[in-house]
Amino acid sequence: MKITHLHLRALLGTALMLVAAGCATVNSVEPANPESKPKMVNDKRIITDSTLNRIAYVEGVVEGTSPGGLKRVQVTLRNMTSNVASVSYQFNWVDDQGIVISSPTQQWQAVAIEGGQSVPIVSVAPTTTAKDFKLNLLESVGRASTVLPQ
Amino acid sequence: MPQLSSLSEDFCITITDRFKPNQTRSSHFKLNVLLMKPSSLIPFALTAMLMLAGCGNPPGSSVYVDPNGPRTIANVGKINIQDFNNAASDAVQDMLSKNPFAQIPQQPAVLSVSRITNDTDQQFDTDLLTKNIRIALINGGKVAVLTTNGLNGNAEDTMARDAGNQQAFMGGQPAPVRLPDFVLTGKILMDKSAAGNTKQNSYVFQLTLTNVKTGLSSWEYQKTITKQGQSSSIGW
Repeated sequence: MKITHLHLRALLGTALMLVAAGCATVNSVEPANPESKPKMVNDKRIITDSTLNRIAYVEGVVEGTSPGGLKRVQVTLRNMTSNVASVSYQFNWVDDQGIVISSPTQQWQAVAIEGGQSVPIVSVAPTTTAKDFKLNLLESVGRASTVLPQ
Repeated sequence: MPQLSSLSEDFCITITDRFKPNQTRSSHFKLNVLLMKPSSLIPFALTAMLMLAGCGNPPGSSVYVDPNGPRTIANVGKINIQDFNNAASDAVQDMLSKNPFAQIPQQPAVLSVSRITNDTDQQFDTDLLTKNIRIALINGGKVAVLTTNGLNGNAEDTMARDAGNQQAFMGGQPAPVRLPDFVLTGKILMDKSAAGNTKQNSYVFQLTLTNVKTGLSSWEYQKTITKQGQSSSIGW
């Protein structure tokens, strides 16, 4: 089959469309002077996967109390790349002795983050005895990274 | 032929199988590997061990995986165990956060689990969803679950009900029964769509908590899990 100039242009156009579809990033808007006063948590990070740290960069950790009186945290993840990424995460809560509290809420969850998008993930302590949390992050079924409260 | 350890033999087979037998390059490669001294094969063996360790398990072998972890099998056309666990975990988080049980003065509130309707084309036990919810709520000290009362008058635990009745009979007093303060009910729905070879299935988990005294819904919850793909995969 003879490849004409038109064929080449069509191929190039399709390729550009595919590249553009894979690299779509998120634009967002929020108040310049927000009314909320988040209580930020100083965190300690154990980074074992630098790639994961780019696709799920921990922007910040906020702590609060739920209407039910239980401790809750919100971790904001940002995908610093221009490609959509899938990340798994798991919250573990520990009591005042540092022992992990076993709960069905320890389930690993998946979150898809678009390129440049910032996503909040929230966890509520399973009991009133929970004092601290530990968040584990994992890229797909790859390697692990951890965020700990300081 | 040189003596090879079983691991080295496995490694040779793995390597040479990757080339077509008629190719000159593969024949030379195979010959070279086989003519090597056993001691010089140690680096190859170590590399193979590391590759095996890093790439998972050999095909055909069985392994234990964390049922709450991301290495479980994911099927597009099926609600997998992790989907039930995810929905239950999310529901509990929402319920603990909003704490609808605080409406009841006598704590912990008594909960009864009613029917969870399966409105999908699949067959499963809805306890896969409700058991995790019950465990988390009881462990959290928010509720006590009634097991001597159930749907259509059928007790979940008939022996416990009979034992209670027997105790009451022997003691000459009526059995102390605390009726449920809340009833949990729900539905699981599905939606299917496809584009070309790519299938997409959405599973919707709906739960309602009703305050028995008022008859009003105290808490509503819905979670949609959408799975897209062409085939099943190990890990997600």
